[in-house]
Amino acid sequence: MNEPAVPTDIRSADEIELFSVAGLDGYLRQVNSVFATLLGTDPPALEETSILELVHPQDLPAVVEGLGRLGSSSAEVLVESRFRHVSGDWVHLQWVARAIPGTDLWWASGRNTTEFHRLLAERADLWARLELAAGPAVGMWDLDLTSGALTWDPHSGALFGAGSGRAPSSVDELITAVHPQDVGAVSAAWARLNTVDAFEVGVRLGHDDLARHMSLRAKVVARDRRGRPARTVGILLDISTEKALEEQL
Amino acid sequence: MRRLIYGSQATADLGPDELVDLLSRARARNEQLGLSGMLLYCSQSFLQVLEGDETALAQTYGRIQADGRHTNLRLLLDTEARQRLFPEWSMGFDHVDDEELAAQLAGYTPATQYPLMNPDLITNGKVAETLLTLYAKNKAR
Repeated sequence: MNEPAVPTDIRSADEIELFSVAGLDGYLRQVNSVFATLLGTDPPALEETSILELVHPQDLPAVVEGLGRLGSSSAEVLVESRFRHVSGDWVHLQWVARAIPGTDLWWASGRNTTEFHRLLAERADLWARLELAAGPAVGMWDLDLTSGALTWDPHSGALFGAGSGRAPSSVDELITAVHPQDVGAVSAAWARLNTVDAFEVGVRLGHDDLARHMSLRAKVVARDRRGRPARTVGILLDISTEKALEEQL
Repeated sequence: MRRLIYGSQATADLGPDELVDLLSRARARNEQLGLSGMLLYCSQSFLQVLEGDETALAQTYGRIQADGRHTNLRLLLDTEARQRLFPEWSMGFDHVDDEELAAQLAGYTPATQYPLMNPDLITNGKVAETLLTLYAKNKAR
């Protein structure tokens, strides 16, 4: 039998990352204290426990498929799954596993991605509330100045009218959608980003009297080594109702 | 007493009526033979655990091997068992209205907490045993 490719006594190892050795049957043989602490327990409490009992039910198919691949090949298996903390909360872990040659064991190391997932959920929640408050009147965009790609949140198409239904994919396309009398102001605002970090400019979308009033806001979030904007983000906010009220006063 | 777990694919997808019929027949036959266990059906594949007397198990597995509705039959586990992990006979399957069926069918396991997965993913007998145990606990909730 070949020697295992990794140390088999990991319980006392001073690991920063979570680490485990388990069998192809899913049972944990050894875990380090980082892994155990993440789940609110100590290593002996996890050893001889099936990983399937710890994994979130919805993540079981991915874990079972990963176990199957570990049993049939020496390739690395990458899995992202939630594990049950003793408190009942779920801890997101991203782990890489590989079979130990000549044994029915595999080892895994991984990292805690719970905070990343919390931020993702928080962002989704914030966006849902923004949508609820502003309805279809706001679109968020992100401009990669290296590629010139302008991307929008999925609901922004509505801002550009039922006819087009598609948000512009470049600054040139955006400027084309702007009322001809506002093109100069918008172009100048983009140019100013070489020297300032943000702008807000009022523009009309559309080419006729029915054009809607918008507030276009931009902020540079990354610059290249020469100080030129590399990435800019912003929003396009429909302020037609506010403009109409102003005109009535 | 022994415990046996196999996975297989159905030669044709089974509809809710056929699955209900299958459960009723299997339940009656297995009770006669003193067998208990669990049958899961998902993505046109079966995962079944059977527990009981060695002779009755061999007879039942032989019948499954000869059953034209099964293909790609894989024996995942065949082991001595000190006690039954699945003392009743139950079944769970997808694409069926869980609540409606649970109300009318004894032994049906609604997959409320543990969603069913394609049994073809399972290649290890102990993995299959753990999963089936989790499904059985799910039934108790």
